[in-house]
Order: sequence, then structure tokens, then C-alpha cells
Amino acid sequence: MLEQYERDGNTSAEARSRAGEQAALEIIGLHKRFLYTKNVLTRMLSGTRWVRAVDGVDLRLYGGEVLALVGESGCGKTTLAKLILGLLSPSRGEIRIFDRSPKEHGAELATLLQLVFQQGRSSLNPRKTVGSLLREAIRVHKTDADVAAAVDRVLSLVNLGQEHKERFAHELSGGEAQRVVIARALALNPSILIADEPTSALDVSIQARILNLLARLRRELDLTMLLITHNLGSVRQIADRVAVMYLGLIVEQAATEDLFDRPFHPYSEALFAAVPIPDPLLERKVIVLKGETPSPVDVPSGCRFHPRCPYAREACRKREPVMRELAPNRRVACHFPLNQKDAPL
Amino acid sequence: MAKDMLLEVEKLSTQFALRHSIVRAVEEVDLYVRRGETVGLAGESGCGKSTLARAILQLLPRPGRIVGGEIRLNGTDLLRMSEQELRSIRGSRLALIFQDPSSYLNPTVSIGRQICDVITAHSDVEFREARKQTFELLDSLGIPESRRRFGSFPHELSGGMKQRVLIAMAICAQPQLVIADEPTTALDVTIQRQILELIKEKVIRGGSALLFITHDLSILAEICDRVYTMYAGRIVEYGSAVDFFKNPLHPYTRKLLAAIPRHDLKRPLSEIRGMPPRLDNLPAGCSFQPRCDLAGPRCLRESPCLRELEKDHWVSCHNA
Repeated sequence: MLEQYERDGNTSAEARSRAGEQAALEIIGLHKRFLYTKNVLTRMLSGTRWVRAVDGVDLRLYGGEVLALVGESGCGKTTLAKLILGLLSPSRGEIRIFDRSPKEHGAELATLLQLVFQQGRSSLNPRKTVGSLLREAIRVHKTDADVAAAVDRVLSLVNLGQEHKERFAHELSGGEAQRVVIARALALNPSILIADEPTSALDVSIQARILNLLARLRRELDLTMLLITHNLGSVRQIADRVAVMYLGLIVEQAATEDLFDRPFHPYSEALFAAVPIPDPLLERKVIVLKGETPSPVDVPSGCRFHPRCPYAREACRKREPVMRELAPNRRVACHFPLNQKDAPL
Repeated sequence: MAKDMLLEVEKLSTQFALRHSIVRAVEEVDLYVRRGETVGLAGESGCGKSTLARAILQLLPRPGRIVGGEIRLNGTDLLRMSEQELRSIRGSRLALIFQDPSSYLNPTVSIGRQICDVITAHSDVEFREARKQTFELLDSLGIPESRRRFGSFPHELSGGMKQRVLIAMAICAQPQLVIADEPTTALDVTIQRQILELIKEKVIRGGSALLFITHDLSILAEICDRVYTMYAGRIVEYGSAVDFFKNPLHPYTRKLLAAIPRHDLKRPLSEIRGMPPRLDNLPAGCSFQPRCDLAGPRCLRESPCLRELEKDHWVSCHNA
């Protein structure tokens, strides 16, 4: 079955922020660091060192949009998701969900915000049937609702049938387990869905089905979605906006089409150029980055991407670039952005 | 036998006899690799592609065994060789690169020592000479500070570095054929790119033939001369990379290519209904028939054979 994706008629995120619209999710100057030198003696001898997992992230997610957060492993994407869910508390900075902090929301947070995990099956209790897993989610948060009807509703939303209600996690295929996880997340009618690598453990044919499902749910339920992934292909298909993260920091933000057509940050460019394309006749520029992502314990001076950047100059070693708005709805943290006619410094 | 033929697999079948069932992971597979050729083998998880790789090297885990067919390397049947003869071929003429390098490196031996062992096992050099070669190899594979790294243990290296060490071990004896089983799957995008470029430079341009096994068709488009697709233990289509990607003939290949989310274009993704069959309980007739839109009465009855539909482009489908 072919599913058509429609660009929805939402006005751009930038226009909405100018119009003073309140963001569904707002992240302001968020930092999270973990103690690296756990041993007291080492700390006394050579000083305390920290893992700077999230190192000053600003992000806004508006109602009804799909924002993709892309980056490689260790860039802090999952730490960011945990911070948003209140599973970790920030070292500095703030998270506002509908203008209140996760703590202020308390238990109600679960009805606003839900998470879809990467490993579908391992987040399902193996001793419970699908039906009881879904009933549990609804019972805990809504005591008066018609539980049976709600379970049927979410099951049909994710294209699972009545027969799946009696199954256990081990009786489900990878794709089915992932759909149960999505169903459980939707059971409480959340406004915001955070999907952490929802398709990366799945085969291509199953992955397409989950992506189509997410696109349809978003349309039908007017969901706001934060899609955390390293799979750039899936980002292009379902996200409205993309934030590229590198070593704890967002380095570029733009509308999906703009970003893929004309990346401004050298890291975004390298990331896109690294992914193989299933077309043997396509001639394209391949960029091979030097080295590996540095450890978030020793964040490089200046621009944190400079040791791997093919275009790095002296200034990049010394000064850390700040996030600037180069075009409407496009922000980049780079001294010498790419694809500019006359690069401003 | 054609003169440039390196590896010929003919009607190879394997079975895993379990308590209640028999898993036919590889069923009557024909596959060949010419000298210096890069061949891709694509398929989703559980289609038997890794079993095929291990069967070629006769490294099947128990209770797996080869129940029929032939595997010829340079015209000699590997299935008739003694274990001793096989050992001299593995590593020197045939080498394997695995997906997960940490489980194939010895955690208690330094990586330099492990590479030296491969070199000394397959040639008459002394340890000192092998050590020198190892330094050169590490340098050429982009492992910085080779002298210090020689003494490093696998746990001290990142995933990308470990994969480089495994490539070093695979190519150090200049094998005629390298079999790479998902060598980049566990890696990040930019590291995957580094490893791919390394494989292109060291293996492909180095003159070895390469059998690259992956679920990621995009990689095959980039590096392969020819591509095979496997489904439920059988080869369902093969042809040159251009024919394969530009004019896929099998319904499964077509759907699979249309299901890949590409980052260079936005398009509706096609879905394949159902899921791959269990290898111990294959459907009657064509294995893909329950998921196929074109399936007719004949597909339910008889299993299709590979036919050459276009020149050098083979497909096993009644309706193609």
C-alpha cells in the first residue's frame, strides 16, 4: 500500500515563534553533565572532570510539527530525550512543556508526553499480554474511561487486530512489537510523542511500514513529534524540521528540504555525503571525515567540530561559534557556513 | 570452468536439525565470484545470508551442516578437503570480515600480536619481519600511532578501529577472496563511510575479489559489480549492479528498493505486507508468494527456478 505524504499547511516554525505562539516543548540553555572522575583520590590529584553530554541546547517544538534530531552515537540525543521525560534532571537550563516544567506536571506529564523506544520488544513486559499492557497504561492514568473501548481504539490506530490482544511479547514479530509500543504510547492521547530510533532495529520492509504509520498517525491525531534518529532517510520522509546535533550541541537547524538541499554546517554536509544512495549510476561528492567523534570529556577548544572539519581555519580553533540565523528559519553554529554567496564572519 | 572463475557455489544446501524441525537456511544456492570482482549479497535478517558465508568457509555453527552441493575455489572442491587443508586456505586465500569485530578479536591478546599471528601462520617470515609488516599495515589502514597501538588490546579501541584491525587481519595475507559480512552495520554514518572507503581502497583496488553481505542495498549500489538477492534461503535474483538497481525484475527486489527511505529524495515508501517466512516452515510453492501482489495459482503450486530473463540478469519468479 502506498501512502502519500502531504506537506501540511503549517506555517513555518519561525513565523510561529515571531507571532508569539507558545511552543509545545521549549528547551532553553539545557546542560547535562555527568561526573567522570568518580574516584575521590583521582579527583583530588588531577581535578574533577565531567562528561558534557548535553552542552547548551536550545530547541523549540511547535504543536503539530515533526522535528527530527539527528546525530551520531554519543552526541547526546538520548540524554536529551531522557531530560525531556524527566528521567534525568538538568545540570543547568530549563525544559518547558506547555509552559510548565516536567516537575510541575508531575504524574500528568504522561498524558502530555510519551516515548517510543528503540527496542520495541524489550520495553514490553514479557509476562503480560498486549491487551493487559495497554489496559494498564490507560487504567493508571484515567480511572473513569471505558478501558476496553480505548484499547480497541489504539490497536486499530496501529493496524493491529483483536487477536493480538491475547499475545505475549515473544509471540510478536519485530514490527508488531514496535506497533504495540506505539499503541501504548498513544493510549493516553498524548500531544507530544518522542520517538527514539523507532525503526533502527527493523528490516527495511518493516521499517517502511512503521514510518508510514508514524506519518499517518501524526496527520490523523495532530501529533507533535520529536524523532530522534541517525537514519537520515527516514528524516527526509517524515520530518518538517531537522536539528543536527554534534557532541552535545545543536549545530544546525532548518526546514527538512532546505537542510538536505543546501546544508550550511560542514558536519551536516559530511553526514549527508557519507550515507550511501541506492543508485549505482549516481555521481556524487563523497566526504570522508577525519578521525572519530571526540570524547565529551575533552571537548575541543573553539568550534568543537574543528579537528574533523575539512574547512577548519585558525578562527575555528580559537573561538566557539554561536548559533546565528542566516536565513529565515535557518540557524547554524559555524564561523564559515557553506553554500553562502558571501560568507559573513 | 571459465578461466577467470574464482569461487563457484553450486546447489549448496544447509540444514540445522533442531528437536522438532529442520531449518533450511540455505537451499540450492548457486553463486559465483570472478577474480577481482566485487559481488553483493543482499537480504533481510534471517534470509540465510550469513549462513551462506559461513558455509563457504565451512564454519557453520552446530548443529548446522552442509547437506548437498559443491563449493569450488579455483576449481577445487572445498567440501572434499581435509580440515588441515581448509585451515591453510582460510586466512590465506579466503578471508572473512565480520559485523561485530569485538566478538572475533581475542580480548586477551594485543591487536598487533593478533595480526602478526595471521602473517606468520601464512608465510615463512620471522616475528620481527611480521611486526614490521604489521606496523606498515596499521599505518596504511589509518590507525594512528601504529607503534603504540600494536600493544593495545581490543577493549581499548573504538568500534571503527576494531573494524580496521579486522580488515588488517583479513588482507594481510593478500587473499584472493574476502567475504565481508555486514562489516559496517554497527558503525556510525561517518565511520561507516571511512570503513567503506578503506574497503574500496585496500580490498577492491588491492586486487582481491570481495563478497559483500549486507541488508543495506545502498552500499551495494556503490561498490558492487554484481548483486544477488536472497529470500528465505534461496537466491531470487541476480544481475549486474546497474540492471539490478535500474531494472529490478523480482517483485521482492522491486518492493525492497521502493521501501528504502532515501535521504536524497522525498517519496512515498512502499510496504511489503506480512513478514518473511520461518525457515523451518516455508510456504508451498514460491516462498515469497504470501506477500506478493502478483501471486497466481502457479505460484502457490510450484517453486520457481532461476531463469535468465535478460542477458546476465537472472530471476526466479513465474510472473517476472
